[in-house]
Amino acid sequence: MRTLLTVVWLVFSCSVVVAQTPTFDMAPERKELTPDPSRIPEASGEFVETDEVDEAEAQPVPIRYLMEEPTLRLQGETAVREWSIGLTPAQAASPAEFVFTYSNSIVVAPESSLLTVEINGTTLLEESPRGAEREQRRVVKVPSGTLVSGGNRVRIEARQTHRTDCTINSTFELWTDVSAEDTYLSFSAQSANRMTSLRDIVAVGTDTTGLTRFHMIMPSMGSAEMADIALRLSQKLAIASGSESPFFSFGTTLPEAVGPGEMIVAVGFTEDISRILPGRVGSSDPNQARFLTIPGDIEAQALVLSAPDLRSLKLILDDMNVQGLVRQDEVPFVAPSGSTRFSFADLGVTASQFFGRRFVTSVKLGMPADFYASNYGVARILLDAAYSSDVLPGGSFNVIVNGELGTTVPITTAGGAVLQKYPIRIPMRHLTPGINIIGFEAILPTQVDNSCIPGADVTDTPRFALFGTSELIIPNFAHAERAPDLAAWSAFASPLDASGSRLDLSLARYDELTLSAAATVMAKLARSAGAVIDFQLVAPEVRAQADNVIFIGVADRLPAELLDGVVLTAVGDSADDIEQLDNENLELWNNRITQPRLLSWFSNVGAWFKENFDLDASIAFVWSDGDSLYNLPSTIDTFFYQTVDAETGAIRTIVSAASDVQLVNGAEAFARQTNWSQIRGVVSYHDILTDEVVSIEPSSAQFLSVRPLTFTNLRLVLTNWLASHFILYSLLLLLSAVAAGFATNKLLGVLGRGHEKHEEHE
Amino acid sequence: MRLFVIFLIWVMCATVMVFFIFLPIDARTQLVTTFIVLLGVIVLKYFQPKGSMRMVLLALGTSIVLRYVYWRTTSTLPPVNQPMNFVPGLLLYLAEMFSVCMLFLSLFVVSRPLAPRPPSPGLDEQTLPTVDIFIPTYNEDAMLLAHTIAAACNIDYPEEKFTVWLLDDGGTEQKRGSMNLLEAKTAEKRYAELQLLCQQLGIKYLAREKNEHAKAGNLNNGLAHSTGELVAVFDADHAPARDFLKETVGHFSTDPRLFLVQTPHFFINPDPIERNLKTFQHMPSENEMFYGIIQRGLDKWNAAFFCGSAALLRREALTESEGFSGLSITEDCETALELHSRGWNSIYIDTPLIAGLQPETFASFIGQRSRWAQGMMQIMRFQFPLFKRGLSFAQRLCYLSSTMFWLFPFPRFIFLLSPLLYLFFDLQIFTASGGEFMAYTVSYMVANLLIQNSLYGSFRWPWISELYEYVQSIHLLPAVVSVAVNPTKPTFKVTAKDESVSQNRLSEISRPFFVIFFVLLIAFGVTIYRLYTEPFKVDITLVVGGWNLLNLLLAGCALGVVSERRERQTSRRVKVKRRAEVEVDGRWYPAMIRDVSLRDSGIQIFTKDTAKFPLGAHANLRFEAHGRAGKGELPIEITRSRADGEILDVGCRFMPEDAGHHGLVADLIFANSDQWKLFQNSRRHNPGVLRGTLWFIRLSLIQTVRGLQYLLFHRQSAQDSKTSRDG
Repeated sequence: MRTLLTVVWLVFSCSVVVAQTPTFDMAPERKELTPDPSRIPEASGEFVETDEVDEAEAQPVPIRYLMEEPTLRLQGETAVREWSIGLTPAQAASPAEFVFTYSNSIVVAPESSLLTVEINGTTLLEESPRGAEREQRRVVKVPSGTLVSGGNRVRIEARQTHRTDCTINSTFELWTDVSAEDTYLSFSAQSANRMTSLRDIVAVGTDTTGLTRFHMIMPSMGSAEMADIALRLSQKLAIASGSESPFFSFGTTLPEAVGPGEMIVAVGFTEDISRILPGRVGSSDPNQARFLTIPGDIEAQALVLSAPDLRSLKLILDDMNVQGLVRQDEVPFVAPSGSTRFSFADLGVTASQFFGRRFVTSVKLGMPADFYASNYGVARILLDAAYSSDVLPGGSFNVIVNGELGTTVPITTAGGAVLQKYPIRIPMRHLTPGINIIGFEAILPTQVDNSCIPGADVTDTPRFALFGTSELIIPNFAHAERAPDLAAWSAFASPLDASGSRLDLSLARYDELTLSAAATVMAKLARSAGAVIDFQLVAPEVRAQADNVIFIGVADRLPAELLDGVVLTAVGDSADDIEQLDNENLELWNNRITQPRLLSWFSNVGAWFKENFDLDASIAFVWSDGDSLYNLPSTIDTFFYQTVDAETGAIRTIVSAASDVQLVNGAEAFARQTNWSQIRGVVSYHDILTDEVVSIEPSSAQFLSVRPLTFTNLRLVLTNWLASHFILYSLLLLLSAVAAGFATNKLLGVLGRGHEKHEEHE
Repeated sequence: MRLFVIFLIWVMCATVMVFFIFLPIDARTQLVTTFIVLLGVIVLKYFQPKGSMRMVLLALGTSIVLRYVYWRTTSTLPPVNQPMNFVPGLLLYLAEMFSVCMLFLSLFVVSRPLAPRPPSPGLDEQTLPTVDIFIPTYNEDAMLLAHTIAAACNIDYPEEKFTVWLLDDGGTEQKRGSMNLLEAKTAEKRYAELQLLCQQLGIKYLAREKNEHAKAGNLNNGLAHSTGELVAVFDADHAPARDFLKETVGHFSTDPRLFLVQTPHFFINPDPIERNLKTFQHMPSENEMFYGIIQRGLDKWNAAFFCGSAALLRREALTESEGFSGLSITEDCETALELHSRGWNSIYIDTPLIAGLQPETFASFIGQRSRWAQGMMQIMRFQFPLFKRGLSFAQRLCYLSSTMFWLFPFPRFIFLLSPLLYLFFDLQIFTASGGEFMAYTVSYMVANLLIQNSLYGSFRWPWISELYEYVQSIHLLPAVVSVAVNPTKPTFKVTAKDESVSQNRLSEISRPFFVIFFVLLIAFGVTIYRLYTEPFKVDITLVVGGWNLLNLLLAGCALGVVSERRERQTSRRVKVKRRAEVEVDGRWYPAMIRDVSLRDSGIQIFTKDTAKFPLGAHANLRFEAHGRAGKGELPIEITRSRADGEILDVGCRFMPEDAGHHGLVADLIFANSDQWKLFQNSRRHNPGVLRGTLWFIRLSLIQTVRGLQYLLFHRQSAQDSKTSRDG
């Protein structure tokens, strides 16, 4: 009945549009908007249409949010997102519905666009995007057998075409947003979300913002011992959950409510815990971590670790064996030495044909912590691809490394081409230790685009085909661990994971907020390292020792000399802002004045040099290697700062903020993997205003280890170092040539004829 | 021990330098570095350093070249699976690497050219060795031979100690008995004529039975009939100066293992290229780079080699090697190679002691070069110098350099074609961006020009090497290919030196040059077109188009080379100052000889009696000869005259009637080798890279226009000139 009504409604609403359109003289649109009954998904009967306001959770059903970020945007003509979620056996077995809510840009032409959602290869949803005017919500029954216990692969794909425009730029206007708040799995079995073993933690999931929230209830926190337990436990939980973005908050009492993606963890002495969870604590085996249902309103479970004394509590913690989620989207890493060849198929890019004008795909690639080739290295793509004869010269292939344009190869020949192992050189300038995203883009303009005849777009001949046999070749590059290098630290917890090295952890206080930040950071590090990181808590003071230290706490409460290298700008201290304003004005005026021809030629040449060689007058002639101060703006919360002790070589990583609240806010921001993965350089901070992570590269860095200690590696390390000190390279080359010149002259003096000239004279 | 230490230090320095050069540095560092290094080279070059600073300059230049090699090798080759790009790409790469190899070989050879040697120790009249002077001839006319023989007879050396031999291969029994009646008749006539000439001049005539092993066989025949301790060889057109033996003989007594004293070939007339481009008077001749620098460089490594003429050899050494080697058609270099490998030494004296003639026509010039190229290829094939036993390592490199040089037609040809592959067919045979081209290729080319200029600056002007290589390549390429295919096939072809160009005309082998020029011109048009229609690859098009433009400049200049100018002056006039008397109608007038060539002379006569000297008047010229000829009279004919107060300026043509007259002419022109040196020095100055380049562009534009004019107005090419004959 409802289906029928919807169809009637749809037809009606469309006819209204049809009635209106004659006032515009846009014939094509009229045609496009004519409904095509065969394409209306509701008619298939497979889908269950619900209106937005319909029966909105009359009674709470167990649900599992799916998104790892607040909003997932699928942009361009083709966009694919793929990730893994963990489910418990109970969830996998339960009948489930899939709720999917999205909206899309008004310029997306529905009849030639398609939105597809798959879980574990089963298509749950396939429809023309209709969310141009208001959010669309779909509820789909998940076929039984689709979901599995453990890791499940979610894949969302959008193919979108533009209603009116055929330019390359117009493809950027195409988007579909998936709402994290209203996209989830709901389970019929009321007990589906119930956890029974530690393994089930893998299904804790995310909240509507993509975070996994652990509420740590510790009635007796405040001591180093309890902090030690908390920080070890949080690492285990992060690993057990497999969550990309775990966040820990601390308290002494139960929260008022918990939702999906949240988990209560109660840790403490038995007597304290039984006060919080009256009547429950003694009921099951008290010698191990266990799930208890919390009585009363909040209808939730808690993971409980309780023991009469510290020693037993530690034992319980040590007995907690956790396994991470087996994710099906593991990122391939380059080989530890030598060059590595990946076929695109290995990297998850399969053969694809493309009919649009801007083809985009991307791969993830892990670089090791000792990656040290960003100044000189060149990777290569050997492209197996083809483009049709329609494609005009002027198109290009672009490679984008971590969001920065790496290479542009213009398409210069008309008439199409089949490219076999066509080499594209990619400077490794923008690669960093950890996971890198390498995007490949093909810009494919055609004559048809220029005239932009509506409907001509939908052709059977693809413009472009990319083959999975294409290869990405990462050459043997320089391996050297350096500090400060927050990229390696955040991506691998490096160099902390080096065997034998002991990590000191120093918290400014053992209060709720500091512990929250510390637990989140340690959890992220444990996720990065893939294992629990051993540490020992020490007092927050600077000691002359060779062990690496992480300091976490509000800036005021940390030893003052730790932060010698950074300048925190207090709020209202806005000399910078004035200067910035002045600079903007100057720029404005510069733009207004028409430059004399010669001058503009010079500035063009300058721009060419900048573009081709990353070279401008300022860096060519200034070479500073001294310690410099890093200025932090007033609009930040948490910042990371790494220094190396000049005497002992200990690496000190400082996680700090101006206030408690900023520290926790920052910790929550950095809990998100998208932010965490951008930590690099010597200083990284989260800017509140822009919600962006900003990093500052160190003016100098110290080598920790160069492995393998081979001639080849040393040579490459030297190359990279010299490439960042290129004036020095020039001088070294010059000097070595001068020396060789003198030596040659000496040698020529004793070789061959000529030197016996004097004897001949006699 | 000291040598070992120095060598060790050198190895260390060189290793460090090469280590830094071969770092896979990024383009930015490369750009900054080459900028700084090139600046260093330019500043150093400005001071024209000697000794160690010269080596520093060369090392700096070398570093840029090597950086280019490293980058070119590691980053620019097209992928193997694109054969359309890869094959030509690889060829271009090999051609470039060949050029770099040759650059380094020549750097080694001329690393420190030997300073001029001290004069040979005073000769003791009693113990002077006996000398046989060989003048091998094949088809040169009697008059030309007469001058050479006369000059040889005039040599300042005890008369009983030397014998002059005319070794005639044009009058052998084989020729005289030829089935070809005309050939037999010509040979018979030549036999009689030359025998008479030799009788008159008092020298020995020798004609063998069979024409076997060409020039080498002829010389060996001479050896078999003579007994002198030393053997001097002069080509039929190479007249020796009087002091030839005085300057050379002494060295043989200093070094008992010396087998060769080689002296430069100095030419008193321009080669066809010099004549057609009109550069003879002010630009150093092509061969001056070889005789002015390279032979001196070779001499440092005891590798100066025999150049077929103008040399003195030791009979003992030749006996050991069983005479001159005749395996290749360049018997001279082959003989030297053989004797060097047997532990004999050679030296080179950088004083012109003979004056010779260049071929007159472009075609015969090419014929001569084909022989050299083919001969050197044969040596490469039959006795590859690098693996020749008995040679020192330095000698191996030197001979490698000398022989491999003649492979230049291959790279030249590839350099010519490569830009066309991109401009016409859009092939990507060199994968690099415009920026990389700038950071690597341009700096390499500038470094290369600077190195060449600081090595050879005053002996070879910028772009002249390229021009000579280009004009030879077109016709040498097939010659070199044919010898590679069939190394025993080439036969000795005698270069004609007696032709002349009587009117402006295009050379008979000029056609390919025009074809290439027009193809390059079209490519230039395509460049312009693509710059406008394909804005997305302007940088590559600019680079390749610029390269093509360079080729076009060379090709344009070559049009001037093959447009043969009418010859005004038959041979180079040498300035002299000799007291003389001129007789007309039985009366003697005092006079002074101002300049002289093989055929004519300029004379100042002290008289107001201008009527006595009308054009066409016959007269006699009398002067004191330096040599044995004593005071002699030489018949002349007045060809022009101009009165200037007391002085009458006349031009006259020599009318020699007998051998004595030839001796007088030879005395006038060849007696004093100092004047040749003066003339050479007047041309030896270095315009520098920038000025030289501008000068060359101007020359090229002018010659392009002239070549096109000739194409329109002087198309008939002379078919009557005989360029060569089989020997």
